[in-house]
Amino acid sequence: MAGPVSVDIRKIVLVGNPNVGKSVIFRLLTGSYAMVSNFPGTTVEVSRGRMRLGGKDYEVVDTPGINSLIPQSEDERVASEILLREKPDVIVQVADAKNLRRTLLITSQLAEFGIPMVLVLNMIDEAEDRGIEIDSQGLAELFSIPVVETIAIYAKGRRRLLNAIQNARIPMNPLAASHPANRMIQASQRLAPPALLSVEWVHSGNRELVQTVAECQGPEFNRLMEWQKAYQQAHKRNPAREIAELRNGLLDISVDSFKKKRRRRFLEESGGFKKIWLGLLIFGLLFFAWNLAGGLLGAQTPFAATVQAVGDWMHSALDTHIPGGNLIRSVLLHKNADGSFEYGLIPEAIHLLLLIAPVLVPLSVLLSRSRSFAREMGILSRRALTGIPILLGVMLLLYEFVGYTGAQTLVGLFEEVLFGQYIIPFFQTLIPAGFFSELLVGRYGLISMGLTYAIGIVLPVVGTFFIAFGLLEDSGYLPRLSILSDRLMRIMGLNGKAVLPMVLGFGCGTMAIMSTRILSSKRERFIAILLLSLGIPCSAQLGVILGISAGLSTAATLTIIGVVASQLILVGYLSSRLIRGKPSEFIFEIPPIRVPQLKNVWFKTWSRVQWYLREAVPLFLLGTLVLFVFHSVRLYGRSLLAWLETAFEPVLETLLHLPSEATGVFLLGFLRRDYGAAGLYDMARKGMLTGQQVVVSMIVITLFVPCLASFLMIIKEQGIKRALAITGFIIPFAICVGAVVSWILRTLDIQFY
Amino acid sequence: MEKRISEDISEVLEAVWTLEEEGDATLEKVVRNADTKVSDTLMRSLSSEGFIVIDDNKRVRLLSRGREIAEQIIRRHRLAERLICDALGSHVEDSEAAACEYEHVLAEGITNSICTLLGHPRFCPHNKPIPEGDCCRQAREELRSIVVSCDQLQIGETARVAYFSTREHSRLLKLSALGISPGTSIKLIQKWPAYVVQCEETEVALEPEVAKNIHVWQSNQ
Repeated sequence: MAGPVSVDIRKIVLVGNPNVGKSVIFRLLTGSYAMVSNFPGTTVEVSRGRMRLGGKDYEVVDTPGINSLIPQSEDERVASEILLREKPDVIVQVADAKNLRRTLLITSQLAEFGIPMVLVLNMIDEAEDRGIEIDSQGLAELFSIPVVETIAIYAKGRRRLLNAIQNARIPMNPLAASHPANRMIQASQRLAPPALLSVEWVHSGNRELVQTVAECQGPEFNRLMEWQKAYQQAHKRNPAREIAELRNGLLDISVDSFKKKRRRRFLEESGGFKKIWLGLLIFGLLFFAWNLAGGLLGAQTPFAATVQAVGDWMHSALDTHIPGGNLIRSVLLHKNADGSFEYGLIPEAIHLLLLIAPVLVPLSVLLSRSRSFAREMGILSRRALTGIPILLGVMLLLYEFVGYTGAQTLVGLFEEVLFGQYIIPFFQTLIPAGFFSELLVGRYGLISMGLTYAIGIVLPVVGTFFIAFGLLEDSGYLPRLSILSDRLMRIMGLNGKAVLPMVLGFGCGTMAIMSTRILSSKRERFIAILLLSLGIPCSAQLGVILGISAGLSTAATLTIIGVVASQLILVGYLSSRLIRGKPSEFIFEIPPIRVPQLKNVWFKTWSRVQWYLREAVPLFLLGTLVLFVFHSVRLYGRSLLAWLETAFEPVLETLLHLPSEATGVFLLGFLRRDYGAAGLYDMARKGMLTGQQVVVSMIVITLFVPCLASFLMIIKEQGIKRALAITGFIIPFAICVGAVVSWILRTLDIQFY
Repeated sequence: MEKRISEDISEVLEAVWTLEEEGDATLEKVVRNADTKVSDTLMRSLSSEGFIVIDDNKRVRLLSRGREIAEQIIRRHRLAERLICDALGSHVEDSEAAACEYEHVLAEGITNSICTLLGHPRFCPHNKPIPEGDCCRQAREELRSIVVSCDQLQIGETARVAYFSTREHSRLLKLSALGISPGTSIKLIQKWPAYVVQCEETEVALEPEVAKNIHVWQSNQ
């Protein structure tokens, strides 16, 4: 926690329910960025920023969302800890105006801290859409604090909010005011705040928080404990229960008196408008399906035909008009030896226009213009019958975007053109052959291998995944996925809530491991981390896998997916049996479907990419360096790598039947899984692996240990012992599964071509 | 209709019932406690008419015929006590004498009305059980059908939360933090693959077990 802050900097803490816009308000106040999304529980780390207001400096602290100050999960405790330890000058409670009862629960609890407060009723537009009117004036009088209405994403109400912060006042505790005769509440008023909350913390068994209160209050805390014990003995009642009952009563009355619901027919767009766009959407989807099915069946698709036609025409035009326009040609259109076009901006433009836009444009028009459509989508996507086809559609779109735009077009541009044609040749001519040339642009060179992989292959894939994930997050789709997957997750000792870390794991495992904090029990966090490290390939790896499987038969791809998925379920099932406890209950709020804010998605993607560049790229370089050392240092005339290969050969050759060259790739896999996968990609492309070997090696590398970065994150989250236990289980397990699959494939003589 | 039973007989049966409740109804105690003069003839006629039986140890027991009558008297007496204490606000001690009067005059229909008015109380002000009447049984049946667990609602049905049948405090807290607490209205909007209820403007997904824990007042159909 932060140390003493100098007197002239005031501190503002943002508190509120999950998914009410705290992070947007944070940005509104400080101008700096906090991760924003339409998924409850996104702010796991605490963001801090600065602002200047009325000639004074403020520090603004954004806290993870809470449903009550009596915490039910680890990240919910953070808010209370900050309030107790950092003793802010102003508390700004951010609330979803639609849900007054939940809001006031927190307000009534915050009122006990005796700290000046402001209540922000955010998303007031959504409340109005539903015909809800809130008497802010009445609320302001009840608590005697400023109450402001805002629409944070449009920066509406910012000025009022700033004014309110300057006029924040110590709230009146409405519980005390409304129960003048209640002895317990009156007595609590004479104790150090927050007395009633402390009693509730004591009774909810939250040891860490009670510890904090004790530390912060010193001898005052002992008085409180004695008092509550005496009360309990004298009245034979659980004081925490009694407080909860009184609070509930207060909330009932307040909601009744301050919230009015009118029947309101808002101006629904004319039926024709919706029908036209719905028609366009269906057309787009059908066209998308046609292209996809055609591609899988190997038939000519409209998309491929268009690319070929436009490509041929453009190519001849370029040839005649711009002789030697090599750069332009490879950037715009990369022609393969067989005359087909592999990547380039022209095919990409056709791809976006022909496949992605016909689906996404009508979808976003409908979501933003038709409230009934947004609501219907919200309902359809959480039902089993309609939800699974929708999920399938979402996954295919994701695949189209990440797999084509990311893994083909961008990887082509970055790896083949930027690195392959310019950067590496440039350094090769610049540096004379020798040690430095080997180090930078040699076989295991920092640039030719490390940077090429990190920036050329992985970054485009991760980047596009982050964009897609950001869109999904902000649309509010992911919680619906939790509902659909709850039953499956239950088999693995988890519940639907765990789907967020799992999906995030397809983007970046390290980030996913960090986000397991939203799960409520230690057992679930452990199982989720185990499964993440075992078999969820991150986007970089996934991109490479997709790249390889593009050259394989569908059967091979399905085998890889099937084996990995079944192992995930198996390990999840076994660990849910072996580790005592049951899945924690699934009580989960579903946010409305909203149109993602592009600015927001962009911010989010950018900060995730920054995180990737800062945290992951150095590890790539470190990994390459280690490999370089292994390759260069010689022992008895052979490189260390050769020795290691010899040592691992028995495992690889006898158990997995892989060529010994793959050893280097697996060693790389220790450093980054996708690094290893990329190495395999290379080997496969050079024709060093048979179909069988590709399948086996892909399975092993997917199940293999987490990358170095996620390993460090596991240590941070679970401690070194558990991190080692997880790794110690996964390595032999991955090799065993690979050996079994390899044996089966060889015995049945299944070749994949 | 039932034939009017003499006050003497009623008093004796009442005394036997009360003593049996306390555990031991000897003839001696019955004579002492009954609110009337108990003669040998009275006792003999009671036992010859099959209201009671007196065994060799001078212990008195109610037979089913006597029990039926005693039950009604006790019920009227204790309901009267409740009425006087709760509705009229008199002190427990003062209620006693008046209740003794009531127990002989109240007709069954009126007794049930009073019982309903008082909300079918289970105990008298002295904390002794009040025998159940038909009205109590009927009310309980109705109540049982009105309060159902949330998973038994139809999709689209709205109901007020009555209570939670879980001992886990954390679960109660979680639900009430999302706005689901006794007294609030919820609407069931989905049952599969997970239960979804709407409370205020919030949609909340629940696993089946939690949905079974939430008991709601089903509105009249």
